[in-house]
Amino acid sequence: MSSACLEHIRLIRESKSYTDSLYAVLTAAHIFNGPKYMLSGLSGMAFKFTVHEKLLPMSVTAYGQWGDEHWQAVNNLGVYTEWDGGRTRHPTFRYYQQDAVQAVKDSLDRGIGVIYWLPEFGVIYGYDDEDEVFYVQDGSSREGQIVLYHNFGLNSTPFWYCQVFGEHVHVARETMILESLRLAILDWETPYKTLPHTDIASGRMAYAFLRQGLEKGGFDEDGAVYILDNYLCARTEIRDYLQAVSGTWPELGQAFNLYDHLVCTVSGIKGCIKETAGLRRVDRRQVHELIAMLTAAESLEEQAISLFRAIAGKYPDLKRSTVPRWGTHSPR
Amino acid sequence: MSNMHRIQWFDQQIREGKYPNSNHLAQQFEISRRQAQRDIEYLGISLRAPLLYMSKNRGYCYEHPTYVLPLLYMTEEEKQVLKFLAFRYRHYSYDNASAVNRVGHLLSRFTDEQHAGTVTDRLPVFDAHPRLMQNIELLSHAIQDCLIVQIVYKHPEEEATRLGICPFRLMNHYNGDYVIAFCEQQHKQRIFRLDSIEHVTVTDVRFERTIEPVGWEAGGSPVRKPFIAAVRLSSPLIGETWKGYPAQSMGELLYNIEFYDIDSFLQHLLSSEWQQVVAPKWLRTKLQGRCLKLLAQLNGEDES
Repeated sequence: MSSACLEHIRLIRESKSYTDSLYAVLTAAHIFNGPKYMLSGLSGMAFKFTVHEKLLPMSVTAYGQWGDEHWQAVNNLGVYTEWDGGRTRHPTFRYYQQDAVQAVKDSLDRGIGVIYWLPEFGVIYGYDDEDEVFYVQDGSSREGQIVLYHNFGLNSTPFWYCQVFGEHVHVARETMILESLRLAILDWETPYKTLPHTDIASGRMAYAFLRQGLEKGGFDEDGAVYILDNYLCARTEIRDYLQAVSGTWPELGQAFNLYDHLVCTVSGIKGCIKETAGLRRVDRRQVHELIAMLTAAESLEEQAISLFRAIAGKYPDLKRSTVPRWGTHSPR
Repeated sequence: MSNMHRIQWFDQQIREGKYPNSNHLAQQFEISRRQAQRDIEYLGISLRAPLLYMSKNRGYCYEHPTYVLPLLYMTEEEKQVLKFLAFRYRHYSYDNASAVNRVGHLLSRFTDEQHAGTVTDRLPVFDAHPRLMQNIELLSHAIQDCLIVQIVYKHPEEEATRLGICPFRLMNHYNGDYVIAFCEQQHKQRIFRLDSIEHVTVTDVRFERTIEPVGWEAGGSPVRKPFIAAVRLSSPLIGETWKGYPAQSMGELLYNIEFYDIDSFLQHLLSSEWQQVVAPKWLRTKLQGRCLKLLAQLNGEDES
């Protein structure tokens, strides 16, 4: 009967739940040192922006096939990672579950936390064989949650996900930044990341979905606030990230100026969210101001992305010029 | 449309001593005689009306006049809630959308919501065979009380066989209804199609559900297991629950208590009488944390 508890892991909810969890795991394991916005920027997670047409809360985490998206994000940091997940209704689920339970315990024995879909993403920081439980932090309270081995992967959504991490290698800073810009371009230009579903838009198209959703009015109240909060947080992260890396290429300095302007432009969003009876809601009387701010922000972001494109065009992109025999790739 | 208004009319006719039959019902509502007969079967089998056919009067009466139709009354508020739920389910467009939409449409049938009459608003039609419904009811009862059931099972292209089964769970797969059960004759777990079961007899013999059947989750989503706390109580329990939490005796005053929600159970522990929380460790830690927090609050100390 063994057990482990990595008390030093501390998940704090500020950004996307995946970024928060990744930051908690990597910093505790001394794999990543630096502020959260750097992790968010370098992994490309800050640039992920998806919106469901009804502004559902799940928009924030529906930025594509997690396996591919998260692998690209973590791989860019030079960190080894393995993930598993799928539909809990699949008849083989129990076998994958048993395998994943063992992988999580092995990782905790090595002193590295594990990212786990609760939902949203949280961090498994301990286990106890005697009680057959995992200890999970969700960032909402210091107590965290308890998950039985038997219930591992079972949650309110029909799918499960967990990701473990290993050693890391040094990747040149310029390489990481360049790849993060390419990931940003990809997210901006891909209209739908969860095809064949076209009810969730990404990047440029996400702006259109957000504006239309607000304009039509029949949107999810909690979802709208969550999307806007996350949008503001991500834009601030991008601005801080670009400021930190602005010396790498002159265009990044210009991009920083654009994002700085963008953050000032959209700072009024906070004023469009009112708290009534303890619930934060979009003030319907201010929807037109909100839409005007978002339209201006889209134009600024479009300009910033063209600068990223100019930087990316200077260097060969071997990852995307060779058709991979694994994972996802665009049809030619 | 629901058949309840027809059944209510039929009930009224019986009470007025008019001995209605399927012909009368068919004529009154301009439905087929076959449909009318199904309504009467529904009244007798599902609504458990003590129907008695009087050949002298060529119609039905109640064997026990004390029988009353189950109330189907809904308040305006309940109707509003139902309408809202129906609306949300109908417009749900995430995972398993088609199944959820179907539930939404089903719920709408109980509300007075009038649709614009578009073709897309047509409701799905399900076949509800009285024998199937009866079998489901009997098997549900047997599953709940762990009773052995005798069935006559007629597999296509095979002779009908009489089998003794210990039913574990009902399930639906690709629009077919099944029961997962342990077959006493074959000494193995089997899955039986309900529409192939010709007859069901629930016996008085109980079976022990000691182990979880293999393939328990086949065809459905995996089942979540409850947390189990070993609690030593101050007095023996009467019944099988500890104020609503399923409890299993493990020895003198020691009980295994099942619960799903940790916060509710902690609250329960804080407000109930017990001697010792034996296991699990994490529950003891959480309870200790709660008590310390409460003490700090009581002493006016800073929580952090």
